[in-house]
Amino acid sequence: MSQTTAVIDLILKLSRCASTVSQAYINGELHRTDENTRDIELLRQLRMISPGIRDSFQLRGSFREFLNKALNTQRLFAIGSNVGEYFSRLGDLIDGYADAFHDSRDSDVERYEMEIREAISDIADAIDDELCILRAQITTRFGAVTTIAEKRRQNAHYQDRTQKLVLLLERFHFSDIGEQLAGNDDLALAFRSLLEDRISSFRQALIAILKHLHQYMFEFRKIEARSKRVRAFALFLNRHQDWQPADWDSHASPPEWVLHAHPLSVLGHPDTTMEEQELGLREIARAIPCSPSVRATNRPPGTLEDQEDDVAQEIVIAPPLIKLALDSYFADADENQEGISARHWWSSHPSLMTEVREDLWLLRVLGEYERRGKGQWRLSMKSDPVPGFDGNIFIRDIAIGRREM
Amino acid sequence: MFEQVAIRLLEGQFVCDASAPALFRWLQEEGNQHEVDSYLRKIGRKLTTTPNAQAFYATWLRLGNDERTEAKRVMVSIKQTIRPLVNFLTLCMDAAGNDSPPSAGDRLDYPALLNTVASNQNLIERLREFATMGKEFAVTGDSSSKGMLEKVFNQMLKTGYIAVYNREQESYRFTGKIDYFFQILEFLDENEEGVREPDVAENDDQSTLKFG
Repeated sequence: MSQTTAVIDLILKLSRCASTVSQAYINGELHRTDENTRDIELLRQLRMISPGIRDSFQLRGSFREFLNKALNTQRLFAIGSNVGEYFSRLGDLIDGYADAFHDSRDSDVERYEMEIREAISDIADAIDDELCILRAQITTRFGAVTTIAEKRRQNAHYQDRTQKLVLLLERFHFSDIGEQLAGNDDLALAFRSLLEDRISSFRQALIAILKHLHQYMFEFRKIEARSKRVRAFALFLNRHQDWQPADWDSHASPPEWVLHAHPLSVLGHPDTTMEEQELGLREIARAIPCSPSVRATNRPPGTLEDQEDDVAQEIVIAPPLIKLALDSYFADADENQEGISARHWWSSHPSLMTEVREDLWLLRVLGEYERRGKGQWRLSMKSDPVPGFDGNIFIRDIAIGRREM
Repeated sequence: MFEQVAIRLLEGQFVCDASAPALFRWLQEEGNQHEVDSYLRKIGRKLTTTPNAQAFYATWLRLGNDERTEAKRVMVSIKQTIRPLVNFLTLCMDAAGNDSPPSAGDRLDYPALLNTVASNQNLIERLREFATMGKEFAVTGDSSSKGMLEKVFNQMLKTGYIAVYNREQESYRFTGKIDYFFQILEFLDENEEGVREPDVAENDDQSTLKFG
């Protein structure tokens, strides 16, 4: 069985136990049930789980670390990279390689060469992983934890870890590992391209991260103060439902925040006289949808509708009583040449004169006499002059009769 | 860039990373700030940043009678904003189980918040309190948690404290204007009588009752 087939075989077996592995990873432990017995046995054979206490199982450390790295979870915080150990191992391997080379143990030399290449690659990967984790923490501002206290604790932890890594890289920079590998072209090339050339960029990235972490430490203090203030304000507002802040705008030197300049409604107009704008304006004009055409709607000619009840409604307008009285008086006068006294007629027709005063009646009779024409009617008047000779007279009575023709 | 920044500032807007990232980045350059500030000063205004440099906005250069009238308008608006905004901030903090208040750029997922609020009676009550804080929060039709929270979000959008981040996912971001609000709270905390009370924990501890 080739190595490639072994890897595929392992991954296929693991995929069959995916649910059990996931459960063990999330819960931290696994208890045997009817459903997972086969998975547990398989995982034990593959050395992926180990027995815990009280009949439980847990993922082996190396497998758990692999999942942590692959999933980039906040659990990495607890693990940390082990770059120092990788460097130490590299040093040991180079020493072993030198000894095997001097003793002409060719097979050992070959093995050491392979292991040194792996160790160099492990160091580069570990630093890469470390940078990746640190960047993720910085971007999210330790978003995996919610409390400020925990954020501060994580910040302190990562500051310490980053500081150690920076020092380690500085020490490594001045080591003679490069010279020790100079005799082997392949190893020297791997060391130079994978590690040595990247050390300065790693170091710069770590220093930048360190600066951020220092800044966060300061910011967390501010956030903590802000948090207390918001909580205190919320409590204060709950207790004082009618509270309003003072009118700080009336203060002699008001705070800056109250001087926020009021919004202007900014509107521009195109200059239609500019030739270079003509094209753009034409485009805009074309894009404007046509307005719906205006249509004059004339009212159709009316038609007469047949009415069921063709009888015209009669409206009776009753003439006023005074008019009836005048007509009646003049009718009586028409038959009497001697003349009929208006006052006598007034008193003898109370039903027609309920709303007309006697003096007004005399005036209306005079007016009617003027209107009907003096040629047909004869007027005799009983009157007294008004004292003072102003031309006015007191009318005592009038009598109207038909003039003899 | 200058034109867009100047117009936004003249329109009374806050230029921040959440609402206008490109303009904000441009305005962070010292030379550009100077250029905009010089322009604003010619028309009686100046460029101002919030305390943590999370947003830029325009303030009056001098304080005459006209500006006093405008300052009064701003003060009235702040008076109307304090209570609902503090309530909104604490609601977000409690729903997320977070003991730090949101800051500029923090993401706010409407569906997640609604889900948490709707499943917690205490948070629903807190949501109802908004209706007592002004007619703009009063819900006329849909009085469910969704309807109420939607009303609050719309109001926060209108006042510019949050901005749409992803419309499809109904995701929002707190804008730099929140920094301006914290500045106001800090000022009132330090200058208003009675606001700064003894420690919350000491005063609010109802579990320690004394008998006899």
